[in-house]
Amino acid sequence: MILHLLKKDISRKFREPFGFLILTSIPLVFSLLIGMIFGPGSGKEPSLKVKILIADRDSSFVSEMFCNVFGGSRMNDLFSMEKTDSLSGRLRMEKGEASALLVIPDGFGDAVLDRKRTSLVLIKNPSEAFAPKIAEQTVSILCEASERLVRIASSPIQVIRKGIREDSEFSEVEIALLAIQIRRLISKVEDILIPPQIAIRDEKAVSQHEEKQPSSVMYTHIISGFLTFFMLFVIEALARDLFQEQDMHTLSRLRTGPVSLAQFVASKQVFLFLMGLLSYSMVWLMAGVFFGLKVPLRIMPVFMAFSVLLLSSLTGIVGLIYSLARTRSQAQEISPALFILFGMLGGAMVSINNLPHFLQGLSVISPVYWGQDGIKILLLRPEDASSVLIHILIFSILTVVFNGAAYLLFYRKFRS
Amino acid sequence: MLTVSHVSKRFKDIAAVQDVSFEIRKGEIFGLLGPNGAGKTTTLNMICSLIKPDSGRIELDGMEVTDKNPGLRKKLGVVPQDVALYEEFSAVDNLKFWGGLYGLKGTPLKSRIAEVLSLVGLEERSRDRMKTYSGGMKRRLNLACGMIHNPGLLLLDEPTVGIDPQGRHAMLDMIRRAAKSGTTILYTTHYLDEAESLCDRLCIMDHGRVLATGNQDEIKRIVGENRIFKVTGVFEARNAEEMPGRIPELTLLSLRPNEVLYSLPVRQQTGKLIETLIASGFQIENLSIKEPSLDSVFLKLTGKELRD
Ligand SMILES: Nc1ncnc2c1ncn2[C@@H]1O[C@H](COP(=O)(O)OP(=O)(O)OP(=O)(O)O)[C@@H](O)[C@H]1O
Ligand SMILES: [Mg+2]
Repeated sequence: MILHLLKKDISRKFREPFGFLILTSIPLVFSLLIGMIFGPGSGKEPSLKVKILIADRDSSFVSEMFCNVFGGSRMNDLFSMEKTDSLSGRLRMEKGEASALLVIPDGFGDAVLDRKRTSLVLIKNPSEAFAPKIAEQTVSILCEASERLVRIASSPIQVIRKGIREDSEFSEVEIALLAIQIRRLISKVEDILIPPQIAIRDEKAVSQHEEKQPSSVMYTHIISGFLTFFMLFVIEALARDLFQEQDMHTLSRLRTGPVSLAQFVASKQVFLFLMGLLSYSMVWLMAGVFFGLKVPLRIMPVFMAFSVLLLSSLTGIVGLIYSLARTRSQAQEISPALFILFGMLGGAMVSINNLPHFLQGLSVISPVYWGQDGIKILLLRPEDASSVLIHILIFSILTVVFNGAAYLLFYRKFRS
Repeated sequence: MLTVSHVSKRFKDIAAVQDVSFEIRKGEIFGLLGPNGAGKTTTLNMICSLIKPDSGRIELDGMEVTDKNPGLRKKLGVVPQDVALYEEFSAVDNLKFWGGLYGLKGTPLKSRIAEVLSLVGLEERSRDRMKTYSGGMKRRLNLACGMIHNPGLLLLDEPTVGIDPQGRHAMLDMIRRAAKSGTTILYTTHYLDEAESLCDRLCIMDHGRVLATGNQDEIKRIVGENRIFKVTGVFEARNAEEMPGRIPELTLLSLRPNEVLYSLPVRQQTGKLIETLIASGFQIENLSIKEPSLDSVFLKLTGKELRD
């Protein structure tokens, strides 16, 4: 029976998904924004432009072409390119001045034209999550593009090369002009090539980048704090239509049938929990897609248990507020105030270390504290996953106590 | 089928239902007739155990109806006064949900959905969201959802309110057809004509009390072969009270300032009464004569007319 009621609620939600999507997208959009603003450059560079350094040791027209693509007008709003030499480029990368450094080795152009294996070196800024990915993506697309180009236009290219080697008719300027022409050719195919829809094949004929896992430490810090905080708001917003069935008179009608009030209340609580969990999962999914944030597989069971209990205790908190409040509007006024208090104490807005000393001790009463602390441990120190057991225990207790109390209070409330 | 005995319910200082008793027999259409606030909905809510009576007992097929007996409630089909459905759903989805609630599924559910949809004439719009329906269509779906599980007893709370005359006609037809197929029906209304044309037996309520119960003939016998005269105008109360002495078989039913009600057997002459009234100094503004009917019964029982 509860399942039947639940199915009805879920399919009603998905018939009119906009409200829910907007609701869920709040933490989503927020996390993306924060991630983009603070993620790249660790807050030094709030611009979305990807700064790329290119050390061109080859100086062939092929390498010129690569540079031109990054510097060209088409990519201008995404990249800011600067040429450098490999040594000072590396130094600047160490200082974190750019998102990526592309080193084009000597003989790269010839190798491409002779269709021999060669490699590009792409050094990515470890403190950024997003921007280096873009650089990497673009480079690999370029590799593929040039490979195709060489295959298609191999004979004219051979002629040109001969000219270059004999060093007779082609001056530096002419080489540059040729490169530009080729870039034009590329820009014609760019429309097809640049969009990342094109799958990058595993065996890249020309490139073998230096892989480095993009670090998302900063992003993890941010998301762990506000995710719990935001989930409270999401669940609260969902709870607003707890009373909807009373207004629609369907509650009375259900009760004239074989549905008991207990089943009705339980179905609503499960519904809140499931929708909250869905919204929460979507945030993680997005975090994985955009910031490469991944939960290590080996702690996955712990992470899932933690998440489920976190969400069920948040459901309990919201449920308790709504069942305790005398009127709906009272509940809607109390909730945000209480959540913000939880958020403050729990470190969602300011880092707990920056709180006044006497408040720091109080942070343990905030569920947000336990939420963000647990997420941080699981993602940043997965080897300590076992210490999350205390969080899991606390959330289990909160789940039982709060949901139980909310259930009884709702039961009484709807009865009259 | 259903026995309501000595049931009362108070809401704070309003006695919504007082000592109401009646019995509904299997297969009949039983009418609960009364003006706004008579206690019809309250009585219905007690029958489907939404509210608990303060005293008295309600039995369905010999078992007491309480909120702890969901199995028994499955025999009931309830069509509430207000449309109570899911607007995001289409007619079919609503019917699926309500049918599923009563354990219907698969092919039987499908064929039953088709059946009730054709009964209420909503086949064409059955896949559209209910939001897009007109008020009358929503009411018809409201009825359909109450009958989806083939209930033994169907409780209808003023199902025709807000429906145009053709729609009303159609709905009464639907109800008659449902009754023919074996469903017992409790029909609540404040329309006399509906009660008169639809119901096998009737219970007339006002101010939470039962005024009369019986079949159409029994009820009409309350007024007997009498016409009811309602006279409004300017007159002296003493004169109005003395009229029965001047005209044989005339009875005074009620007397209010500027309004008096008499009943007079059909065989007596109407003209004589009017002449006498004028002779006694009545300045008649309006005179209405009611032939023996539910209308006149109601007028006789309550002293007021039943109008919406
Ligand atoms: N929940 C309630 N709380 C307080 N009073 C109520 C409640 N429900 C009904 N009443 C009162 O009980 C009386 C009977 O109401 P009820 O709804 O049963 O009348 P009804 O015959 O269905 O009228 P209508 O034709 O308007 O639907 C009214 O005076 C009403 O004000
Ligand atoms: Mg009513």
